[in-house]
Amino acid sequence: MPKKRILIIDDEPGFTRVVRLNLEATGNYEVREVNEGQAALAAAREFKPHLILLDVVMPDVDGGDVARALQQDPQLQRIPVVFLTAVVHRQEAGPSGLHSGGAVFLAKPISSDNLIRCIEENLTPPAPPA
Amino acid sequence: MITAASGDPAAESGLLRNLVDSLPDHIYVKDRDSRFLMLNRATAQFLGVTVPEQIIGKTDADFFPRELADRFRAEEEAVMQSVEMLVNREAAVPDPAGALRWVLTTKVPLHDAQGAVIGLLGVNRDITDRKRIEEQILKLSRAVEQSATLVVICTVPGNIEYVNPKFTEVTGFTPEEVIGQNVRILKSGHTPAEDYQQLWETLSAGRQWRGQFYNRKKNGEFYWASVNISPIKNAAGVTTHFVSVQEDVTERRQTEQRLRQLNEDLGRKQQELLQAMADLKTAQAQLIDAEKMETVGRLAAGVAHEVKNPLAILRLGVDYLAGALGGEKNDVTLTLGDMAAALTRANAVVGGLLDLAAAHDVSREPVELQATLEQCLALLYHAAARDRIRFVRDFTPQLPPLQLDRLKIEQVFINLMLNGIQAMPGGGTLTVRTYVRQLAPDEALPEPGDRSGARLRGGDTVAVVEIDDTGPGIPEEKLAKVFDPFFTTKAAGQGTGLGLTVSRKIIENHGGTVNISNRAAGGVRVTVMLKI
Repeated sequence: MPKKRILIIDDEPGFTRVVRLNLEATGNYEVREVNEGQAALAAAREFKPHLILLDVVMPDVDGGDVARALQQDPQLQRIPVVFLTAVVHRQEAGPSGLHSGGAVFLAKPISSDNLIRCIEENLTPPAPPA
Repeated sequence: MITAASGDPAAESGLLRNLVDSLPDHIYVKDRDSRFLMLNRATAQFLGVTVPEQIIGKTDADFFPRELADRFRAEEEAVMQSVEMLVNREAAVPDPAGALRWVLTTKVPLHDAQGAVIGLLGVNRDITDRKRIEEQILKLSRAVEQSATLVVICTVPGNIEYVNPKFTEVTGFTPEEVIGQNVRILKSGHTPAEDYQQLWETLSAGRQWRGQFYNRKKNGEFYWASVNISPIKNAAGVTTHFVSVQEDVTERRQTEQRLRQLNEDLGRKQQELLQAMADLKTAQAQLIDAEKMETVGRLAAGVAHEVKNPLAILRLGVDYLAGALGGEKNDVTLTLGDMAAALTRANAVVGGLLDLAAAHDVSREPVELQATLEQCLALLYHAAARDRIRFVRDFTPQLPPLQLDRLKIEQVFINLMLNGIQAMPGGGTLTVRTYVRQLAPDEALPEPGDRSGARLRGGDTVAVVEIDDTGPGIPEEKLAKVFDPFFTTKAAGQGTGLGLTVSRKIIENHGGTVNISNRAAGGVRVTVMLKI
């Protein structure tokens, strides 16, 4: 089975690295780290990820802005996005994320198992309306 | 010594002379020209002369002012000419000292054997003292007649003999209508029989009685009389009459009534004012608390973000290391497991802080309490089943929907039920009960955690939720602290110490109360009261 490409966008290199290590350790994913929101779009176009993990609060560009830009790009708009946030409470988000307005939120901190489960659940994009 | 007339003219005359001199009345004889012929000692005394003989031959002009003397002379002439009789005429006459004295005068003509008028006989009686008493009586009588108080005089059996004009003015009864009637015609029927009994007992003992009567007027209206009744005793000390002096105090009583009413109103207003002030203080305190909580909320959110990000790295780092070391159980993997658990705990504490900060933010909607409780029980079903804990539901069907923050209330009940479940690791029964009741006006309510949130008050109708467990209970000395932040009775790593703090905060922000007590039968009872 070909590896799934996961793009992780978070301003904290320590976090993106540990996410990458956990995902790569499964042997199922190829992970690209981006630590600046501004670089997200270019990286997405170039890397063509199957799923994007996107930090909500970043110093330069807000995660929401990055998500909107992705939405507006015909090439990128179908890529599923999972938001990572330290502000959403885990009780609200639940182990497999909070679904709010079509977006999926994962509360930090998250265990490796839950992260992977959430990625798997969101990898297959919903079929486009006929 | 007086002896019977012996026929001796000289002796007889002397006896008569003595008799006349000893009389207090003035007796005198005048001739045809009003000159004194004879007079007794009392007359001389009145004229200011000690020896009666010195007056013989003199006229009134020698003793009285000219004008008065002329009048006397004229009237004596009229008497002697039999033109006018003069019997018991009262006149004020100056005595030798110039003081006026009242004199009752009778003058009759004297005739000789042929019937010719030869003079007159006069008798004067000094009635000054009697006059003075009469005037006194008249004055008293006028005082009673013109009095602004009602005066009634009645006989001992109560028959009215006198009423004054004020009585007529107030009651409408004229003297003709009531004199001879018994005083009971004034009874309104509103004065208790004991009062009359006491009244008659007091008066019979010869004492004065004071009190108030609700009396009837002639037109059927009533009036309040402040009454003072005294016995009138005769010279022998025997009560012959009663005098009742009454004052119409209807207006005074009405004024008093109004005053009392005003006073009560004032008292009520003051209470309302105090209540309003207390409410204002509470509102102010709530405002301050709300502001504080907003600050705490912002702070907590900031802290959460800054803490959760490093926790996220640590968590995934620990997981990665554990994965890299494989499933083997050794000191390193066990340590990594402990670290993962510690991270979970740290995260829970941060989550609790976020809950606490969010507790004041209540968004209400109609919530069916019973359905909510069922949902909480369903979520806890597995946790309970694992510990062989049975659920007992004792729900009243009469609970109306309440205006609550659904998510927060769920959070509270899950928290409270979970506490109960965790208190019974060896199995037991968790009973959830609901009912409606009205708080007693002076019911003691649990001490609030802080000043925020509307308060329950005596008389409020509340929905009560009781959650009973059959665990070991909470030691009494710890009971007071269970709501304190970071106080926990659970084993290390089992609780954040914020669950009950957050729960109470949420309940109080709904205007309710939560209380935890040990049940007599054992175990703990949590009582939540929410205003309906």
